[in-house]
Amino acid sequence: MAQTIHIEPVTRIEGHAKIAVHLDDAGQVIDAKFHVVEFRGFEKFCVGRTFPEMPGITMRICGICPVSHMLASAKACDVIQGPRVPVTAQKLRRLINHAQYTQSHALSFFHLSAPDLILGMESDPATRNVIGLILANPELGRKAIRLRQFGQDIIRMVTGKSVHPAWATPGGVRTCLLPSQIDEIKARLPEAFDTTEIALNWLKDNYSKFDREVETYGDFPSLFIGLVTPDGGLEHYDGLLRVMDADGRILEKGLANDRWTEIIAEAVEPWSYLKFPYYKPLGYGNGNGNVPGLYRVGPIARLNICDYAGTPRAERELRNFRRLGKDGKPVTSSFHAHYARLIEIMFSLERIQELVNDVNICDTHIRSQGGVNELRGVGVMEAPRGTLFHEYHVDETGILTGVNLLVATGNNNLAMNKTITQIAKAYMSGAKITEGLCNRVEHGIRLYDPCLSCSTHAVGQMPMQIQVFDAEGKLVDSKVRD
Amino acid sequence: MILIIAYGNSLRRDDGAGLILGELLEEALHGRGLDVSRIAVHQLTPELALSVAADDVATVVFVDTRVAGAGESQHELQICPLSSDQGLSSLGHHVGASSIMIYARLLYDKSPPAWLLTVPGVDFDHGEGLSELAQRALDSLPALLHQLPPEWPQIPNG
Repeated sequence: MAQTIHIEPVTRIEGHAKIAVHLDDAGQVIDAKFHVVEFRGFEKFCVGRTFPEMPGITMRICGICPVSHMLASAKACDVIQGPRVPVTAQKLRRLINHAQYTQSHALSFFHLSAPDLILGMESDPATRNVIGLILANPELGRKAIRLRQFGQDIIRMVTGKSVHPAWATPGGVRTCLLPSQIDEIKARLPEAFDTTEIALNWLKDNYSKFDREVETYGDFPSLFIGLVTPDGGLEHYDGLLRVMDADGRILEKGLANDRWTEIIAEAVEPWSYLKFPYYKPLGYGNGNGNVPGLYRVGPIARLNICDYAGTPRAERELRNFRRLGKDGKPVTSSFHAHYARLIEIMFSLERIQELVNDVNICDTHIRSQGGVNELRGVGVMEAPRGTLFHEYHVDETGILTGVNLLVATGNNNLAMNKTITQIAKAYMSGAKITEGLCNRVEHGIRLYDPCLSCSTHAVGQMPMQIQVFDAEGKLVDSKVRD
Repeated sequence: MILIIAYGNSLRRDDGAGLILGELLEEALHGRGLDVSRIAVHQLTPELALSVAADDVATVVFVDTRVAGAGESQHELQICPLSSDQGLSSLGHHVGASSIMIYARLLYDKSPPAWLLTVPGVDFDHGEGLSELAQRALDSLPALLHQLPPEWPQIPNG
């Protein structure tokens, strides 16, 4: 009898979701689906507002990466307004974006994923958590907290707030950086580098423990999409869209941001509120689950598509990372996202170091003025989780008539489903759900560090519920995991 | 110093009620001449343990919205003591207030008395207003403080 197993919700990710594993009559896994059960209503909510409000509104989509939404929104508004953003304002935007990468990737690696990596995927769930990690290595725990705090404090210093800073604005930013703040950032950089180096060394020293995870946690060919600099470098804030296939062929070398809808389309499935974006030229397929246009965004994609990193330490790690690809091809296992995140923390710290040593970083010309000069504005960013698109349409008075947001988690929707299917097939036999399987499936989702519906935290705090249904939809087993 | 940590999303109606309650509590405690500091965040994150572990923090009050259950008869503000010794398994989920306290205890050897003050919420849709239920509960803060010992929250919570 065919069965459906529901795992709900995925813990330690931002939001609320459930996972259903479908078995065939023989009890073998045939498919797995990642259901997103909350609807995002921000797009409709924003229509009718004035466009300069958007950076302040859209940052409240997320409690972990508000900076990405604020900056993508500001970039879309820059286009509508017209005049060029002052150079120092662009540097300050880059500074807080790198700070956000530091804190966001640190949360993902140290606080959400490290318990599984260090304590074991199938270790006792009572101790396989961040406290278990702290008890095993309290100094690393303290360093991890200080690394996150470092990123948050830079954002707070520059913007005045660490969460929801209404700081970026059409045409620039609201406040400049002070010399005393530069001194503080410089003083704290060495420890941040040290912590990242420790984590990198630990991960590389322990890679051999995860051979099977590398093969089964989302190792499949796909396209990779992200931003690169005009000459192909690693880029987080601005740049051109590049698309690469699993063999390393460049399908789009450098597409202008405002042409993004020429290459990305979104499919809808009845079982999820989250749409399923795909690379339009290769299509969505015939509905049998094999999507030719499936792509991934995020740390692995960014490191695959770029020609170089552009900073010394990150460049060294990038060369090492590329050895993980088979036969010189792109890295295809999503398990390597952990390594990619640490490389991007290093890259961000190096960029922060460059920016605070920039002689013009304290300039006070940080905002240009303008009105409504374009009726359509597109802002594309690399959020820590992947490429983020904001597209706004306004009337002549600047009132929003249309808003289209494609968030990083949405971009990875197809890949997340394929990843959990692969994990379930590898580790599940029969209808019995083990604690280890639950955690492996969750870990597969967390590799993408998804941010689903973190706009409300109160409704996301639930125990995990696992349900087994038969082919007729009858509940045959249920388990609550506190 | 009394540290208030209020959290929620002010664009998701009742989800932001905890942020408002945090402001009201700060005003009330200031009115009593107490030394109060308030942090307002979208959601709790691990580094808040550093704020909790600061030497001048004598007491911590976390302020949040709770989802009013269908069977819940008391739709009022609720205060409960918060321990840094609670079960570890809950830490597998979102970072909660007790998790922050456990971080502070294990990493920095600090365990100030801590409380969780919650306002009931029923409407988490997009928007800035509050439900009648949440607003009524917020209005009851002076009465609640009147019922508590005058020295609250600076009393042992064990």
